[in-house]
Amino acid sequence: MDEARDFEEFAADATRRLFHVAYLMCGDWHRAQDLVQTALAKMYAVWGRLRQGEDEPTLHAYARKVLLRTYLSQRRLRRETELVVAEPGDYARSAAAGGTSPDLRLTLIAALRELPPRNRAVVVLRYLEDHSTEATAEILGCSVSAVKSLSNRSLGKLREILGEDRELLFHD
Amino acid sequence: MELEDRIGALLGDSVRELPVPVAVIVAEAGRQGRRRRSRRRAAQLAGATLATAAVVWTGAAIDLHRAPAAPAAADVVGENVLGTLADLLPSGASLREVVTPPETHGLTVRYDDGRSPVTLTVDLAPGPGCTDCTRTRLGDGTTETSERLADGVRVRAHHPDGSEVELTVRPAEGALPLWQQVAASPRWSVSWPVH
Repeated sequence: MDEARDFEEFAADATRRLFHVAYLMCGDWHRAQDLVQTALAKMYAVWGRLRQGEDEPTLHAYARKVLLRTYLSQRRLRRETELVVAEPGDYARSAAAGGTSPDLRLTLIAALRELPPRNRAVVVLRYLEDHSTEATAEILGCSVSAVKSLSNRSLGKLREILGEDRELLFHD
Repeated sequence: MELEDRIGALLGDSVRELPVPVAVIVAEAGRQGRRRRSRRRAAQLAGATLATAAVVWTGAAIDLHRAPAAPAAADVVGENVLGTLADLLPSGASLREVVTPPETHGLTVRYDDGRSPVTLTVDLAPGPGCTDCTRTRLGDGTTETSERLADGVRVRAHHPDGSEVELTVRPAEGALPLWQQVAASPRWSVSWPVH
Protein backbone atom coordinates (compact mmCIF):
# COMPACT_ATOMS: atom_id res chain seq x y z
CA MET A 1 0.00 0.00 0.00
CA ASP A 2 1.35 3.42 -0.83
CA GLU A 3 2.24 5.80 1.95
CA ALA A 4 -0.48 8.38 1.27
CA ARG A 5 -3.25 5.80 1.22
CA ASP A 6 -1.89 4.14 4.35
CA PHE A 7 -1.87 7.50 6.13
CA GLU A 8 -5.39 8.31 4.97
CA GLU A 9 -6.70 5.03 6.35
CA PHE A 10 -5.05 5.67 9.69
CA ALA A 11 -6.27 9.28 9.78
CA ALA A 12 -9.83 8.29 8.87
CA ASP A 13 -9.79 5.78 11.70
CA ALA A 14 -8.29 8.16 14.27
CA THR A 15 -10.03 11.43 13.41
CA ARG A 16 -13.33 11.01 15.25
CA ARG A 17 -11.74 10.20 18.60
CA LEU A 18 -9.08 12.89 18.20
CA PHE A 19 -11.79 15.40 17.40
CA HIS A 20 -13.65 14.54 20.61
CA VAL A 21 -10.49 15.07 22.64
CA ALA A 22 -9.70 18.30 20.80
CA TYR A 23 -13.21 19.63 21.27
CA LEU A 24 -13.23 18.93 24.99
CA MET A 25 -9.83 20.62 25.26
CA CYS A 26 -10.62 23.80 23.36
CA GLY A 27 -14.44 23.98 23.37
CA ASP A 28 -14.59 25.32 19.83
CA TRP A 29 -15.66 23.18 16.89
CA HIS A 30 -13.58 24.99 14.25
CA ARG A 31 -10.52 25.13 16.41
CA ALA A 32 -10.89 21.45 17.18
CA GLN A 33 -10.85 20.80 13.44
CA ASP A 34 -7.67 22.88 13.04
CA LEU A 35 -5.99 21.09 15.92
CA VAL A 36 -6.74 17.64 14.56
CA GLN A 37 -5.62 18.63 11.07
CA THR A 38 -2.38 20.09 12.39
CA ALA A 39 -1.64 17.06 14.56
CA LEU A 40 -2.26 14.65 11.70
CA ALA A 41 -0.26 16.80 9.27
CA LYS A 42 2.71 16.66 11.65
CA MET A 43 2.44 12.89 11.61
CA TYR A 44 2.08 12.74 7.84
CA ALA A 45 5.32 14.68 7.41
CA VAL A 46 7.22 11.80 9.06
CA TRP A 47 4.78 9.01 8.24
CA GLY A 48 7.29 6.66 6.60
CA ARG A 49 9.48 6.71 9.69
CA LEU A 50 6.55 6.39 12.09
CA ARG A 51 5.08 3.47 10.20
CA GLN A 52 8.35 1.58 10.21
CA GLY A 53 8.77 1.66 13.94
CA GLU A 54 5.30 1.64 15.48
CA ASP A 55 2.25 -0.60 15.59
CA GLU A 56 -1.33 0.67 15.26
CA PRO A 57 -2.15 1.25 18.99
CA THR A 58 1.15 3.05 19.48
CA LEU A 59 0.40 5.30 16.52
CA HIS A 60 -3.01 6.19 17.97
CA ALA A 61 -1.42 7.01 21.33
CA TYR A 62 1.22 9.04 19.53
CA ALA A 63 -1.51 10.96 17.69
CA ARG A 64 -3.05 11.97 21.03
CA LYS A 65 0.32 13.09 22.28
CA VAL A 66 0.90 15.24 19.20
CA LEU A 67 -2.61 16.69 19.44
CA LEU A 68 -2.34 17.64 23.10
CA ARG A 69 1.16 19.02 22.81
CA THR A 70 0.07 21.06 19.80
CA TYR A 71 -2.80 22.46 21.81
CA LEU A 72 -0.70 23.20 24.88
CA SER A 73 2.09 24.82 22.86
CA GLN A 74 -0.41 26.97 20.95
CA ARG A 75 -1.83 28.08 24.27
CA ARG A 76 1.61 29.06 25.49
CA LEU A 77 2.41 30.94 22.30
CA ARG A 78 -0.84 32.82 22.11
CA ARG A 79 -1.16 33.54 25.83
CA GLU A 80 -4.78 33.93 25.10
CA THR A 81 -7.70 34.16 27.46
CA GLU A 82 -10.22 31.57 26.51
CA LEU A 83 -13.86 32.35 26.76
CA VAL A 84 -16.03 29.93 28.58
CA VAL A 85 -18.42 28.73 25.96
CA ALA A 86 -21.90 28.64 27.38
CA GLU A 87 -23.29 27.16 24.20
CA PRO A 88 -20.73 24.99 22.46
CA GLY A 89 -22.97 24.34 19.49
CA ASP A 90 -26.31 23.30 18.19
CA TYR A 91 -25.27 19.69 18.19
CA ALA A 92 -25.41 19.51 21.97
CA ARG A 93 -28.95 20.73 22.10
CA SER A 94 -30.08 18.21 19.55
CA ALA A 95 -28.16 15.38 21.11
CA ALA A 96 -30.88 13.73 23.07
CA ALA A 97 -29.80 10.19 22.43
CA GLY A 98 -27.63 9.83 25.53
CA GLY A 99 -28.84 9.33 29.06
CA THR A 100 -27.83 12.84 30.15
CA SER A 101 -29.88 15.84 29.11
CA PRO A 102 -28.24 18.34 26.70
CA ASP A 103 -28.37 21.15 29.25
CA LEU A 104 -26.49 19.15 31.81
CA ARG A 105 -23.93 18.14 29.22
CA LEU A 106 -23.43 21.81 28.41
CA THR A 107 -22.98 22.42 32.10
CA LEU A 108 -20.27 19.78 32.25
CA ILE A 109 -18.45 21.14 29.20
CA ALA A 110 -18.64 24.67 30.59
CA ALA A 111 -17.27 23.42 33.93
CA LEU A 112 -14.44 21.62 32.18
CA ARG A 113 -13.52 24.80 30.36
CA GLU A 114 -12.99 26.61 33.61
CA LEU A 115 -10.03 24.36 34.36
CA PRO A 116 -6.53 25.38 33.23
CA PRO A 117 -5.44 23.61 30.02
CA ARG A 118 -3.14 21.04 31.63
CA ASN A 119 -5.75 20.12 34.22
CA ARG A 120 -8.30 19.76 31.45
CA ALA A 121 -5.92 17.55 29.50
CA VAL A 122 -5.45 15.30 32.51
CA VAL A 123 -9.21 14.96 33.01
CA VAL A 124 -9.80 14.16 29.35
CA LEU A 125 -6.95 11.65 29.14
CA ARG A 126 -7.66 9.96 32.48
CA TYR A 127 -11.44 9.82 32.37
CA LEU A 128 -12.58 10.08 28.74
CA GLU A 129 -9.68 8.19 27.23
CA ASP A 130 -9.20 5.96 30.27
CA HIS A 131 -5.42 6.25 30.24
CA SER A 132 -3.40 5.23 33.29
CA THR A 133 -1.55 7.88 35.27
CA GLU A 134 1.69 6.58 33.74
CA ALA A 135 0.39 6.84 30.17
CA THR A 136 -1.06 10.29 30.86
CA ALA A 137 2.28 11.42 32.27
CA GLU A 138 4.05 10.11 29.19
CA ILE A 139 1.66 11.89 26.81
CA LEU A 140 1.90 15.19 28.65
CA GLY A 141 5.61 14.94 29.32
CA CYS A 142 5.35 15.26 33.11
CA SER A 143 5.77 13.03 36.16
CA VAL A 144 3.23 10.52 37.46
CA SER A 145 2.95 12.41 40.73
CA ALA A 146 2.19 15.61 38.79
CA VAL A 147 -0.63 13.81 36.97
CA LYS A 148 -2.08 12.52 40.26
CA SER A 149 -1.91 15.96 41.76
CA LEU A 150 -3.47 17.64 38.69
CA SER A 151 -6.17 14.97 38.59
CA ASN A 152 -7.13 15.42 42.27
CA ARG A 153 -7.15 19.19 42.00
CA SER A 154 -9.19 19.08 38.79
CA LEU A 155 -11.86 16.81 40.22
CA GLY A 156 -12.07 18.99 43.32
CA LYS A 157 -12.50 22.06 41.16
CA LEU A 158 -15.15 20.37 39.03
CA ARG A 159 -17.10 19.34 42.16
CA GLU A 160 -16.96 22.93 43.28
CA ILE A 161 -18.04 24.36 39.89
CA LEU A 162 -20.81 21.86 39.31
CA GLY A 163 -22.23 22.24 42.81
CA GLU A 164 -25.86 21.17 42.84
CA ASP A 165 -25.76 20.31 39.14
CA ARG A 166 -23.48 17.44 40.07
CA GLU A 167 -26.35 15.64 41.81
CA LEU A 168 -28.53 16.15 38.74
CA LEU A 169 -25.81 14.76 36.48
CA PHE A 170 -25.48 11.69 38.62
CA HIS A 171 -29.17 11.02 38.98
CA ASP A 172 -30.29 11.85 35.46
CA MET B 1 -22.00 8.10 43.13
CA GLU B 2 -18.69 9.94 43.06
CA LEU B 3 -17.74 12.32 40.28
CA GLU B 4 -14.65 10.26 39.56
CA ASP B 5 -16.78 7.20 38.77
CA ARG B 6 -19.15 8.97 36.43
CA ILE B 7 -17.17 11.67 34.68
CA GLY B 8 -15.78 9.46 31.91
CA ALA B 9 -19.28 8.43 30.81
CA LEU B 10 -20.52 12.01 31.10
CA LEU B 11 -17.69 13.32 28.95
CA GLY B 12 -18.34 10.58 26.42
CA ASP B 13 -22.04 11.54 26.34
CA SER B 14 -21.08 15.18 25.84
CA VAL B 15 -19.36 14.54 22.54
CA ARG B 16 -21.15 11.46 21.27
CA GLU B 17 -23.35 13.35 18.82
CA LEU B 18 -20.69 15.85 17.82
CA PRO B 19 -20.57 16.05 13.99
CA VAL B 20 -17.02 15.31 12.85
CA PRO B 21 -15.94 16.27 9.29
CA VAL B 22 -13.71 13.23 8.89
CA ALA B 23 -13.21 13.44 5.11
CA VAL B 24 -12.34 17.14 5.20
CA ILE B 25 -9.87 16.68 8.06
CA VAL B 26 -8.15 13.73 6.42
CA ALA B 27 -7.80 15.57 3.08
CA GLU B 28 -6.53 18.77 4.66
CA ALA B 29 -4.16 16.93 7.01
CA GLY B 30 -2.64 15.17 4.01
CA ARG B 31 -2.26 18.44 2.18
CA GLN B 32 -0.69 20.25 5.13
CA GLY B 33 1.49 17.22 5.80
CA ARG B 34 2.86 17.26 2.27
CA ARG B 35 3.71 20.94 2.66
CA ARG B 36 5.44 20.28 5.95
CA ARG B 37 7.42 17.45 4.43
CA SER B 38 8.42 19.56 1.44
CA ARG B 39 9.60 22.36 3.72
CA ARG B 40 11.45 19.95 5.96
CA ARG B 41 13.20 18.39 2.99
CA ALA B 42 13.98 21.81 1.57
CA ALA B 43 15.53 22.73 4.91
CA GLN B 44 17.51 19.51 4.91
CA LEU B 45 18.60 20.25 1.36
CA ALA B 46 19.71 23.72 2.38
CA GLY B 47 21.70 22.18 5.21
CA ALA B 48 23.21 19.63 2.83
CA THR B 49 24.07 22.40 0.38
CA LEU B 50 25.83 24.38 3.09
CA ALA B 51 27.67 21.28 4.18
CA THR B 52 28.64 20.56 0.57
CA ALA B 53 29.85 24.13 0.13
CA ALA B 54 31.93 23.73 3.26
CA VAL B 55 33.43 20.50 1.93
CA VAL B 56 34.20 22.11 -1.44
CA TRP B 57 35.75 25.12 0.25
CA THR B 58 37.80 22.89 2.54
CA GLY B 59 38.76 20.65 -0.38
CA ALA B 60 39.92 23.65 -2.37
CA ALA B 61 41.85 24.96 0.59
CA ILE B 62 43.80 21.73 0.93
CA ASP B 63 43.86 21.02 -2.83
CA LEU B 64 41.56 18.04 -2.50
CA HIS B 65 39.86 17.46 -5.85
CA ARG B 66 37.11 15.14 -4.80
CA ALA B 67 33.62 15.70 -6.20
CA PRO B 68 31.09 16.13 -3.38
CA ALA B 69 28.02 13.95 -3.29
CA ALA B 70 24.88 15.83 -4.31
CA PRO B 71 21.20 14.90 -4.14
CA ALA B 72 19.75 13.62 -7.40
CA ALA B 73 18.55 16.62 -9.39
CA ALA B 74 15.20 15.02 -10.22
CA ASP B 75 14.46 14.44 -6.50
CA VAL B 76 15.38 18.00 -5.64
CA VAL B 77 13.24 19.44 -8.40
CA GLY B 78 10.30 17.18 -7.58
CA GLU B 79 10.19 18.19 -3.92
CA ASN B 80 10.51 21.89 -4.73
CA VAL B 81 7.84 21.70 -7.40
CA LEU B 82 5.43 19.86 -5.12
CA GLY B 83 5.94 22.38 -2.34
CA THR B 84 5.48 25.33 -4.67
CA LEU B 85 2.44 23.79 -6.30
CA ALA B 86 0.85 23.09 -2.91
CA ASP B 87 1.41 26.70 -1.91
CA LEU B 88 -0.05 28.10 -5.13
CA LEU B 89 -3.21 26.00 -5.32
CA PRO B 90 -6.28 26.96 -3.25
CA SER B 91 -6.55 25.29 0.14
CA GLY B 92 -9.25 22.79 0.92
CA ALA B 93 -8.43 20.35 -1.88
CA SER B 94 -6.32 17.24 -1.99
CA LEU B 95 -3.06 16.97 -3.87
CA ARG B 96 -1.51 13.58 -4.42
CA GLU B 97 1.70 12.92 -6.30
CA VAL B 98 1.53 10.20 -8.92
CA VAL B 99 4.36 8.35 -10.59
CA THR B 100 6.75 10.76 -12.24
CA PRO B 101 9.25 9.34 -14.72
CA PRO B 102 12.89 9.66 -13.62
CA GLU B 103 14.92 12.48 -15.17
CA THR B 104 11.75 14.54 -15.44
CA HIS B 105 12.10 18.22 -14.70
CA GLY B 106 8.88 18.42 -12.77
CA LEU B 107 6.19 16.10 -11.57
CA THR B 108 2.64 14.86 -12.06
CA VAL B 109 -0.03 15.13 -9.38
CA ARG B 110 -3.68 14.36 -8.94
CA TYR B 111 -5.54 17.48 -7.78
CA ASP B 112 -9.05 17.13 -6.39
CA ASP B 113 -11.01 20.15 -5.22
CA GLY B 114 -14.12 18.04 -4.61
CA ARG B 115 -15.80 19.17 -7.82
CA SER B 116 -13.61 18.33 -10.80
CA PRO B 117 -10.47 16.26 -10.14
CA VAL B 118 -7.68 16.71 -12.68
CA THR B 119 -4.21 15.43 -13.38
CA LEU B 120 -1.59 18.19 -13.37
CA THR B 121 1.82 17.84 -14.95
CA VAL B 122 4.40 20.50 -14.22
CA ASP B 123 7.47 20.70 -16.43
CA LEU B 124 10.26 23.15 -15.70
CA ALA B 125 12.14 22.40 -18.91
CA PRO B 126 9.44 22.23 -21.57
CA GLY B 127 10.13 21.53 -25.21
CA PRO B 128 9.35 23.78 -28.19
CA GLY B 129 6.52 26.28 -27.81
CA CYS B 130 3.05 25.97 -29.22
CA THR B 131 1.90 27.28 -32.60
CA ASP B 132 -1.86 27.42 -32.27
CA CYS B 133 -2.36 29.07 -28.93
CA THR B 134 -3.44 32.23 -27.15
CA ARG B 135 -0.54 34.46 -26.11
CA THR B 136 -0.68 37.04 -23.30
CA ARG B 137 2.00 39.39 -22.02
CA LEU B 138 1.69 40.08 -18.29
CA GLY B 139 2.66 43.23 -16.40
CA ASP B 140 5.87 41.76 -14.96
CA GLY B 141 7.15 40.82 -18.42
CA THR B 142 6.05 37.18 -18.25
CA THR B 143 4.73 35.80 -21.53
CA GLU B 144 1.99 33.23 -21.12
CA THR B 145 0.49 30.92 -23.71
CA SER B 146 -2.60 28.76 -23.41
CA GLU B 147 -3.22 25.84 -25.71
CA ARG B 148 -6.26 23.60 -26.02
CA LEU B 149 -5.35 19.91 -26.27
CA ALA B 150 -7.64 17.10 -27.35
CA ASP B 151 -7.96 15.94 -23.75
CA GLY B 152 -6.90 18.94 -21.72
CA VAL B 153 -5.27 22.31 -21.65
CA ARG B 154 -1.63 23.40 -21.54
CA VAL B 155 -0.44 26.69 -20.08
CA ARG B 156 3.15 27.83 -20.42
CA ALA B 157 4.76 30.85 -18.79
CA HIS B 158 8.08 32.28 -19.92
CA HIS B 159 9.41 34.44 -17.08
CA PRO B 160 11.62 37.52 -17.59
CA ASP B 161 14.63 35.76 -16.00
CA GLY B 162 14.49 33.09 -18.71
CA SER B 163 12.88 30.38 -16.61
CA GLU B 164 9.89 28.54 -18.02
CA VAL B 165 7.10 26.48 -16.52
CA GLU B 166 4.57 24.41 -18.35
CA LEU B 167 1.38 23.17 -16.74
CA THR B 168 -0.65 20.48 -18.49
CA VAL B 169 -4.11 19.81 -17.09
CA ARG B 170 -6.21 16.80 -18.03
CA PRO B 171 -9.13 16.86 -18.51
CA ALA B 172 -9.72 20.50 -19.44
CA GLU B 173 -12.03 21.50 -16.63
CA GLY B 174 -13.28 25.06 -16.49
CA ALA B 175 -10.60 26.62 -14.30
CA LEU B 176 -8.24 28.02 -16.94
CA PRO B 177 -7.73 31.30 -15.02
CA LEU B 178 -6.49 29.29 -12.04
CA TRP B 179 -3.97 27.33 -14.11
CA GLN B 180 -2.81 30.56 -15.79
CA GLN B 181 -2.37 32.17 -12.40
CA VAL B 182 -0.39 29.19 -11.11
CA ALA B 183 1.90 29.10 -14.15
CA ALA B 184 2.48 32.85 -14.05
CA SER B 185 3.59 32.89 -10.41
CA PRO B 186 7.07 34.37 -9.85
CA ARG B 187 7.62 31.52 -7.38
CA TRP B 188 8.69 29.36 -10.32
CA SER B 189 11.53 31.74 -11.09
CA VAL B 190 13.60 30.35 -8.24
CA SER B 191 16.65 28.81 -9.85
CA TRP B 192 16.55 25.06 -9.44
CA PRO B 193 19.04 22.55 -10.78
CA VAL B 194 17.00 21.82 -13.91
CA HIS B 195 19.73 21.67 -16.48
